Amino acid sequence: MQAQAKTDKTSRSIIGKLIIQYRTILILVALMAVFSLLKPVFLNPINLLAIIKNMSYVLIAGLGMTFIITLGGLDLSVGSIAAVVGVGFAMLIRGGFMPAIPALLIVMIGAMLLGFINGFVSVKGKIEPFLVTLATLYIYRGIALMLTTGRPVPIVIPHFADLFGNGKLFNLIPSPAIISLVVLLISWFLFRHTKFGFYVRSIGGNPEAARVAGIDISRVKIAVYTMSGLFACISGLILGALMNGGLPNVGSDLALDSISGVILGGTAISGGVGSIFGTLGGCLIMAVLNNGMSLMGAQYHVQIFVKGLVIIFAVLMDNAFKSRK
Amino acid sequence: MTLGENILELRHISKTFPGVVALKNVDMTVRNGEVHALLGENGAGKSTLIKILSGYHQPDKGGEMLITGRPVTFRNPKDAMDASIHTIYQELTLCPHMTVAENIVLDKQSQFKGFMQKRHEYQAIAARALEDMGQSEIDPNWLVKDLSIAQQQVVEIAKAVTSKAKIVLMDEPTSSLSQNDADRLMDIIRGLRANGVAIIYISHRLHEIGGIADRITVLRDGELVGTVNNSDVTEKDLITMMVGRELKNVYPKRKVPIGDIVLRVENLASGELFKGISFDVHKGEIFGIGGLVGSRRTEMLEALFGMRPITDGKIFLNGEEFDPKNPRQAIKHRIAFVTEDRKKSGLVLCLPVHENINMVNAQQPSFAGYLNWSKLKGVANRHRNTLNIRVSSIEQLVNSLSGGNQQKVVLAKWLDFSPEVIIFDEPTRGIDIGAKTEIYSFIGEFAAQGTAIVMVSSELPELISVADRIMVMQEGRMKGIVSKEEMTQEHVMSLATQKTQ
Repeated sequence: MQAQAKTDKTSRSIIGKLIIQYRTILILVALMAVFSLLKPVFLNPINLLAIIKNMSYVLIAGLGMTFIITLGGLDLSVGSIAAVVGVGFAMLIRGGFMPAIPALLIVMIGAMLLGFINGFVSVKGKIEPFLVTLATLYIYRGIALMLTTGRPVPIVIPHFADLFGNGKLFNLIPSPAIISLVVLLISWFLFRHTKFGFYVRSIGGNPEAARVAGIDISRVKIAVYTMSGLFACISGLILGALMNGGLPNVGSDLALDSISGVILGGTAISGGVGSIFGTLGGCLIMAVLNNGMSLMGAQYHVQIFVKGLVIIFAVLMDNAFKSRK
Repeated sequence: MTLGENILELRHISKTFPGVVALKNVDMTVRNGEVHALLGENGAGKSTLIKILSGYHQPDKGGEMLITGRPVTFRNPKDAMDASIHTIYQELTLCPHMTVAENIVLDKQSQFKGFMQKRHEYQAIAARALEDMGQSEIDPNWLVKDLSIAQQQVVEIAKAVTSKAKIVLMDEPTSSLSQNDADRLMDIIRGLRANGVAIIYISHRLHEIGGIADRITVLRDGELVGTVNNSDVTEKDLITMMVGRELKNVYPKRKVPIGDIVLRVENLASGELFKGISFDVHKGEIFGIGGLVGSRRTEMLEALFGMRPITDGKIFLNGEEFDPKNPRQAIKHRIAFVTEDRKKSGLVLCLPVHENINMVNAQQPSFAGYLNWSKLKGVANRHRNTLNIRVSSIEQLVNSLSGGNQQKVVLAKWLDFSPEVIIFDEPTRGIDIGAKTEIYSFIGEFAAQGTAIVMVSSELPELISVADRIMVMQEGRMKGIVSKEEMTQEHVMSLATQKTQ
């Protein structure tokens, strides 16, 4: 009798574990099945590629955010950094002031500097990253607005739009999808196969243990925020290319959307446990929701309402199947 | 009720936690108008008994608690309070941002009618209680966070007095007080006693107990040793009662040659935490550090490992001065630290066994920071076999391991590191006998390889059987270094409890 109960319990916990492990994929497949039944055009390869293109900038910011959240932090400023990047790049190349390549390098270094400031102030000032990046969310947005006095700056070099926006490889695969794939693979390698990723997971899991093991916590933290700045920069360049200009107001939802993607992907908000491919899945869920609901004629208002429901559903699912101790 | 009657009676109280028997069949009576001291080593069962009396734990079936002759059961702390038992914990439980008066009336809100706060009544109640205790210099309108620890304790006691508590439990009330404040507290306690309150007083400080207690109950390993009248016993008798533990599990250290001095500590201090600590540890030696709760042994170890600022004194490693600013520097000088609380600072619970084992190894330089996980997993598997870590796979999360296996994972972290000095803080806390034996044999193994070992343990018999020498600390001061020949439980305990000069 007792043995029976025990096996029941373990088998249930195994199923629970599997559900947690694959819940991102489960939700994604379920959503795709529903949308393809309701709107067969959903499964059209062109539509699927459009989904990937439209989510690319959220995914890239989300990959940086995966490191940040696994570390136990938060970066609310990524959208503002993306705006500074778009605006900055547009202004640097305006009227042939500077060739595109050095301008790209400058905005990349600039974005890393903004990320570095987030990390540095948080570590050295011993301030919660939530508070630091809440402040820089305004400060960096303010920079973008001050630079342009609030007006968009057009980007008028054709190759840029091809490279980061509407170009297609083999006339099929959108260039943002390729960029996301590269960033995804690099992130995965960093996260799983380098010391850096290992330190991030250790610090997020237990900073005290990481410190006693001799890991330089401050350095790793600052590096992660710097990296998040760089990823936000790539998101900003894609946004700039898609909109053909630097818009100071762009990316205001980027931080929250990418956090949602990370959470939907199974990364724990408490730190320590993260998944790069989970973030891919989480961002896909949100992109599929947007696309499918648009196809069905649902308005933006309804879409964000449903997005919220899906997030709370996913988190409740985690808790329901988590083995209780 | 007349003074000296039994107000509280415990009959056959036991408490079993999963895997541990914390209390075994304890009988105790407390009379009103007496100060009854509860005495015992770390882990003797004092805290468990207090938690049962204050309603946090429920005793096992078969035991009985009687208050003024009537049996009672406490399902929660409120039941205990309703039965007029009031507990004053080591960590005070006042609301720092509220006033003294508000804190005093917080648990008596049912006495006040209506929706509104009755500020003037609160103040009057608080002022009267403080005056009765001779503490009228504390203004009921002050915020608790502005009070000293001693004054906060007075407020706690005022809280108990105003709720008409008949039994007051005090857990190490003087542990963070100066001598002056402690003396004043004793006066307050005498005042309570004169009013017929029964006080159960927990302390390690024997001289303090000698000065205030009427009767003393001694616990050891969860069992009652006996209750004695204070006037009938000496401090020495009490020590014998506390430590008379059987030496049934000994872990004798393998004989290894003791070499040159590796670690030398001279007059080390960190602010007021600890001062004047001097010792040296030789190659192959196990240097034990004994003491009771509040001896600040852990704090001293943390300073050696760069986790606490050193304000005075020097550390020498192999003759060279060494001033660790952070754990990284200490590790660079080949010092390893197995911390007291493995869950707090030894392990990353959400990571698998092999990642925890490799937390130090992974920091070796590598091309572009690449980690060869298959190689590292090989290392982890090797350590798993050497240390006999019982897991189904090294991919298992450490979270799911037993205490003994978790502790072995912490040890495994330092196996490939070949440390010069390895610091163990309570290496066998909360693990079973089998794993203890294994851990002590690995510590012996380290010593045999010529590592200098510093080890803190509160398990006196274990410390005595393992250590080559023992330094005893009390409240941040060193009380002496005991050589192998003079090592008896009584001697170490008397150093740990003797009156501070």
